[in-house]
Amino acid sequence: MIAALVLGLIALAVVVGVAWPLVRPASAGDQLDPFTEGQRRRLALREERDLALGALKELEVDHATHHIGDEDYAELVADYRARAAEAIRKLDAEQGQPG
Amino acid sequence: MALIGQGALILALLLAIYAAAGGLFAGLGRDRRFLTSARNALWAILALVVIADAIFLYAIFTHDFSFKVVADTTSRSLPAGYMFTAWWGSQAGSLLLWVTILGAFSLLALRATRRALGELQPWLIMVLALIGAFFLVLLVVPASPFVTQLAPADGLGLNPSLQNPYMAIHPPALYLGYVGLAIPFALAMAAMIAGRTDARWLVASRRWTLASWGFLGIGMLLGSHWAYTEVGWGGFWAWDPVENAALMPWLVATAFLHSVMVQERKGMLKVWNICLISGAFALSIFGTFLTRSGILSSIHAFVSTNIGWYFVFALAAVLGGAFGLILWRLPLLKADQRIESLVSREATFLFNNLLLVGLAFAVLWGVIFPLLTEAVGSVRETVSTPFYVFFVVAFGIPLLFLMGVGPLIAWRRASLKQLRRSFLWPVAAGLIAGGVMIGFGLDSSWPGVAAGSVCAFVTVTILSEFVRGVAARRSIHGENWLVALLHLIGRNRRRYGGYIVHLGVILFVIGAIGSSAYETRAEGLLKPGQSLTVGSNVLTFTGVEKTRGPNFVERGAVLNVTSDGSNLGTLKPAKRSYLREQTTSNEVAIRTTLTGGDLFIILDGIRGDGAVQIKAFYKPVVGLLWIAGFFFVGGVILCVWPDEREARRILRRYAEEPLPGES
Amino acid sequence: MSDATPATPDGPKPGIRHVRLVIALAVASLLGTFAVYTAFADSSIPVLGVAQASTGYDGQKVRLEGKVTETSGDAADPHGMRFILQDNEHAATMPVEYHGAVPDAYRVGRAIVIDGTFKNGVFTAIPDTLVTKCPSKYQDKATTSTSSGSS
Repeated sequence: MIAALVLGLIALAVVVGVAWPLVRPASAGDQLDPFTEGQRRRLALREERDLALGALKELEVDHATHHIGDEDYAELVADYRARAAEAIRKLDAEQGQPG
Repeated sequence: MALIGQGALILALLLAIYAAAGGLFAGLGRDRRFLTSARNALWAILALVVIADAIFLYAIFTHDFSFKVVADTTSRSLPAGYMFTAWWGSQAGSLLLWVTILGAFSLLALRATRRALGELQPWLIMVLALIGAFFLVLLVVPASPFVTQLAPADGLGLNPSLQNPYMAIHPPALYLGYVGLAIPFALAMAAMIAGRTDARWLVASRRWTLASWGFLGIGMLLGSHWAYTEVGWGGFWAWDPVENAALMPWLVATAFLHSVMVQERKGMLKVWNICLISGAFALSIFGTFLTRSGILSSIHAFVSTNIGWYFVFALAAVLGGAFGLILWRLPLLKADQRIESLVSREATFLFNNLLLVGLAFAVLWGVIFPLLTEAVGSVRETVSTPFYVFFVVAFGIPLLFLMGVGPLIAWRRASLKQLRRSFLWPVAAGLIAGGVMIGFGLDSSWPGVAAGSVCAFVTVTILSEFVRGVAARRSIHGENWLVALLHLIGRNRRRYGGYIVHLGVILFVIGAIGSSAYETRAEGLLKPGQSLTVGSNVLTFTGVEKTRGPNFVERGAVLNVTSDGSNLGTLKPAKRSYLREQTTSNEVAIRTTLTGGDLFIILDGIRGDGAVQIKAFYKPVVGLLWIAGFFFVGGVILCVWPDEREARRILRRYAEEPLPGES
Repeated sequence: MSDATPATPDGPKPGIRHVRLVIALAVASLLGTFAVYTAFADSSIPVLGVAQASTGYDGQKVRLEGKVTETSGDAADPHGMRFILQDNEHAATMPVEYHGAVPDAYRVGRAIVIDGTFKNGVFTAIPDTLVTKCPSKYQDKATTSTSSGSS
């Protein structure tokens, strides 16, 4: 009997704790905003930009530690700079748009 | 009390189902109230499970044998320390531990994903709650820790082999690993459901995967050490299905840890990574299934209840769910870039992945071979050690080689001229090592020579990385050697932590080869005064000695050990009879030499007239296996150590505009 | 790896096909190694109950499963350890002669697994292949003494 009582009390506490957030009616602040298409695009662009910038840093380290020769280094640096610039350019274009 | 415990678990199960539904509603309806409610439910589940743990442990410590599980796994004469470890000594108890860890990890994962992954939280809760619900169903129905009976006077006791410090830590370490893999898996599933294709989930899951992988590795190493010292047949890994159960997810997780780096840098291998983490988690579930379902004969004992079918269902759900989600989201998972050159780090990692997954597959094949043959034909067949060793050598040596290639080769494209410069010394070291080994007569084992040469190659590679990095820092920042080294490691924790782990692997490989391919062995029946020679050691038997312990009687063979004339003391391999449990255990005698080799002696039998059957091994450099563990742990800790700068850099990307779901 | 257009603006590089080919070859060689080994290497042995083993497997190396009903001697005796193994389900029995390490959990009534050959009415076991298993308790981790061929 004590067991049933204890369990009952625990169950009650649990139900209250879990149901409490649902008791009040939904308000505007309860909306979990969805990820918009625009946000997704911009996040992807920022990731691309950061990937290119990160790659440039790694290239520098690899060049300093003689993993890459001068020719390859110059070529890859130019390529990553172009990618970063492209991503930044697209991001700037996006900023003006809604969504 | 048992009723409260059982009730708590039933309540926890109902809450888990609710939390999964709440997560679903929160995700679909984008309603924060359901998210908060589901999160509260997770807290409640943890509280209830902890209550159940407390009741269970209380029953163990108060010798309450009306709990059937307590009676089956403990006894009044069990030493206090091992009463705590009896928690996971039973099927029900270990599932209870699993669920406790899962509950705690789930809450930690929620906390860690507050920033920039709030959108995933509803789905994260849903997936984790479903996994928790599965294990709670097991605890409520087939494997309850709270089954009661008429209390017997004393319990059956803990298996003597388990009364050993290593067996105390080994299961929790493995569980932390198995359960830990659920988090990256759940993050991957949540990211796919939410349609998030950026690498944020990868970054968030990285520490979890690393830590879980680390725990699995340490768990296996501890188990090996136990097998070596306590089980005492002379080996440390028997390719038993339960051992393989931990090895398989570990291999796949190793592949994942490497391919993740490719995705983070090049946006490639997205689908492959999700497959890998799903595979790792599925293998973790499969591994749990292996140890509990009784399908295969192995060292660990099984209960042939229908618990196996529950796991089959879970496995199907995990694989089916992952596969379905991948198919649905395939259009979003296109690679941003491609592999441009075979001579690049990406390609090296890719081949590394193929070898690791290939090895995991070979082990899996060996494990389920009895099932396959039984299903196809009428006679069950099994493979044993030679099968596994073949693949470890065939796939492992190329893998080891790649471990040396990876650090020296640049991302995207490496120039051959640079490679020639970089590889000169490592290749020379490898060839010299090979030559030296052959010169010392070690070509009795060709895999041994190959592995040894490759180990030398890799070691020089890793050391050269440290040297180059320090040199570069010195020339750029003008620091002295020590400061440069500390800064180098501190600023590039993952890279150099990884190198330390690789060094650990090298040590392990050398220890493994030395102790198996190059061991010497001798055995014989000795009367008092007679000797046995193994390697350069002479063992002289003087007589049998009898001693008493708290719950056993021990009979040992006293052996005087001399080597090249000098006295090295005595060793006493013994047989112990445990009174309560009515079993006899072998106590091997091990003497570690300064060079890290072991003199390993087993007492196989005692004849009526006092003669003893002795088996002795000399295992060179076997100690490296255990030292490797320290490198392994150190490297993992370094990799996992939070890096403030890196964290800020990553978060900056997500903070540039307010993202939804941040709480 | 998923299909995608490369990020470089001037279309797929000719090297890409080359890369894909090599990767495919790598996968093929791994599978090939696996296939060839499992087909040709004599790496598996049948697992039999006592009742099955007494008929038609004379001289063949098999893995035997059964329950120990009687045991005498140990590794120190000239004929090693001798015990009677009974089929786990039927009444069939077989005498076994064994030299080598005996795992901790071994005793009368235990289920065990052992490798060897059946010849002239006696199962001659391969040394150090005795493995015990305890179906009644999860926690009874039976111990093994695998052959020294293990690494």
